[in-house]
Amino acid sequence: MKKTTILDLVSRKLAPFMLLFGLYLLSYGHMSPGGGFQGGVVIASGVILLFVAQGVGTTASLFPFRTLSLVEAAAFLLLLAAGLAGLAAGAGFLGNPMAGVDVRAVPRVSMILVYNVLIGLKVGAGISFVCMYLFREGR
Amino acid sequence: MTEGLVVWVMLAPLLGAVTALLGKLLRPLQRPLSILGTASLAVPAVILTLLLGPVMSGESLRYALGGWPEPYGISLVLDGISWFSCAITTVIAAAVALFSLGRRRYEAGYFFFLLIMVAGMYGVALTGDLFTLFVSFEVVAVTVYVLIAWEETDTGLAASYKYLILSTVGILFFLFGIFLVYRDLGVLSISLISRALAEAGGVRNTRFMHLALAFLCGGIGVRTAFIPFHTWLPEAHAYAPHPISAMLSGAMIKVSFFALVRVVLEFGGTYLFELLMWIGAVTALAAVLSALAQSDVKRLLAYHSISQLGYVLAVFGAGSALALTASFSHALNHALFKSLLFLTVGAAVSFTGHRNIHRIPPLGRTMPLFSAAFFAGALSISGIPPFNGFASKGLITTGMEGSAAYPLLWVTSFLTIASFIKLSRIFLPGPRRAGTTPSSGNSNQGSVPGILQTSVVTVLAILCLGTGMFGGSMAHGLYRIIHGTAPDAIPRLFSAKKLLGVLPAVLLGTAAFVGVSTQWGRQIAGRIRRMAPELRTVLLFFFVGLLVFAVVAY
Repeated sequence: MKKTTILDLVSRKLAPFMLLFGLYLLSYGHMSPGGGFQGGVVIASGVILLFVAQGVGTTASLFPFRTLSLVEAAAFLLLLAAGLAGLAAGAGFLGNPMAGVDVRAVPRVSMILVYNVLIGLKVGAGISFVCMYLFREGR
Repeated sequence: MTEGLVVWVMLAPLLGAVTALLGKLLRPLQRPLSILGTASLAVPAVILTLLLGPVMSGESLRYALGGWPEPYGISLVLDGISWFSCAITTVIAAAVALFSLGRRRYEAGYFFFLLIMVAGMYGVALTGDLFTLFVSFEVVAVTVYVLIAWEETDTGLAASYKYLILSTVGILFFLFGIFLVYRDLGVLSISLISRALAEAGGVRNTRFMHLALAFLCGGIGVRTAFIPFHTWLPEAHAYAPHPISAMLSGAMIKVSFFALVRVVLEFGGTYLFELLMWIGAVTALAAVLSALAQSDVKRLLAYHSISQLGYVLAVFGAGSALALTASFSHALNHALFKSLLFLTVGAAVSFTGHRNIHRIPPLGRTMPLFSAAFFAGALSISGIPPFNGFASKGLITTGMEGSAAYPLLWVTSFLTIASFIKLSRIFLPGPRRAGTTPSSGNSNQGSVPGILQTSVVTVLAILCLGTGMFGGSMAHGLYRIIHGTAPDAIPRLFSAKKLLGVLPAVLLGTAAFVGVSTQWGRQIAGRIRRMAPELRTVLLFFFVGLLVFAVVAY
């Protein structure tokens, strides 16, 4: 496949900003447009840009196959744990365990932040993983 | 307190799936973690047993996820129908998971998908609102796509792809139905919809709700696989790995059927009963004719799944309280004997490496316990006393008394016998010599099933016999679970009249088998086999089916 310098350069300059923007969407999803899923997809699109422009081999050294799958599995586990935390605090499954805590000590919204970050990691890792697999198969 | 247990029914398989996923990542621990994941199915079993008491007294337990009550949040509802649906899922899933543990080729990743699928099926059973129902259907579907293609055979991949396309079309119908409901009523919770419709004076007095009902029925219909939405099923069930076939035929289509029952009843769609009864009866007959024509053993069983589901649907359409019990009891019995049949026949297929009825050598001497279990299943599906098929078919006869659609079911019953006479040749005791071991040099050939697999099929066979012998008390209990009250009278199952009624069916069945074996019969069978519709014809079927529902609902 023929690759131009423009694509090579732009993708390397653009991808970090895409990842950063994805993280921004994750972490501000509870108070501005965005959220876990959207942030995760933006992160994944950054990774996919690198796959497309730099090739799977180069990118896989930055985001190894095994790490992505570990992140995805861990995020799944932690999501369930976050749901169970609500159950343990007496608010029911997926309830907010902070509901009984003093608001000035721990903001209650922090639970949404936790969910957003976990969902974002899971979606980002999952979509990048799927695309990486497809690109690798295609070769 | 008891309400709090409901969520654990769904949580336990999810946690089990996580352990299986960890097993996939930590290679050396693969086996113990898969076993641990399977063990998580014990939790729903225990909880459902504990909650049987409240359910039998007609309570419905509600659990609001995250503490958000009904119009805003998601709530889980455990009433009679969902208890029964969960119970079938648990029994079949446990049998299938244990059977799969017996074969080393299924790794931790397989158990991950299996357990997520089970969690999705619990979701379908327990959910209290339409949108969560949609999500749960999709969770089940996504895992099923993967599991059908798990062994990466060409046929499996093609079947998985076909199922992907068709079930996506189906679920879009469903989603459109949800859109209509939300647009006009502004609620998604099934109980609130039911109340809103009652206030509006029934589905027919609203402008669009009959259309919504038709779309919802069509959408679930694709999952439940009755005519004309059945076309994906034979391939998907026939070319999936054997335990997955058992799971799909045994539990998945039942769970969707219960969702259909819930939607129709809660929408007050009793005027659809006539249509459902005729669809059921036609499905039963048409599918059994196709089954009789098949020579691929698993395809034959897959067509029988459609046919038996036709029975379940037809008697549901008869509408009385007893008919509903008969329908559910046949659903349970079909789940037991069909998973048993798929597991035994699947074992024969992987043992010999052949799928064609005429190429599998008689295995009666090689796998005696499997053969015995197979015959228990075959006698059950044929409705021979004292096995469970006889019990629920007896109830169906009573439930459909005087209905014009019943003769179709009666014809179906002897054609079922005919096709199982045809299938049973693979488990007959063959000649007593070395020829009974399959010819060497066949690379597909597997080993004799292990102790775990044998005990699973033995337990299933005993369950088939037990639910048949105690069919009367089973029906009694079922009636209480569904309706919350004790029945006035359950008809006697083993009366002399009913026992004698089996005789002509067996004779006609044998005659039909002989008829199919003749030159002329084989030609017709070949013609039926070649009638497989193309994809665009199938989509046309879907729309015709939808139109029929819409017209009748209007």
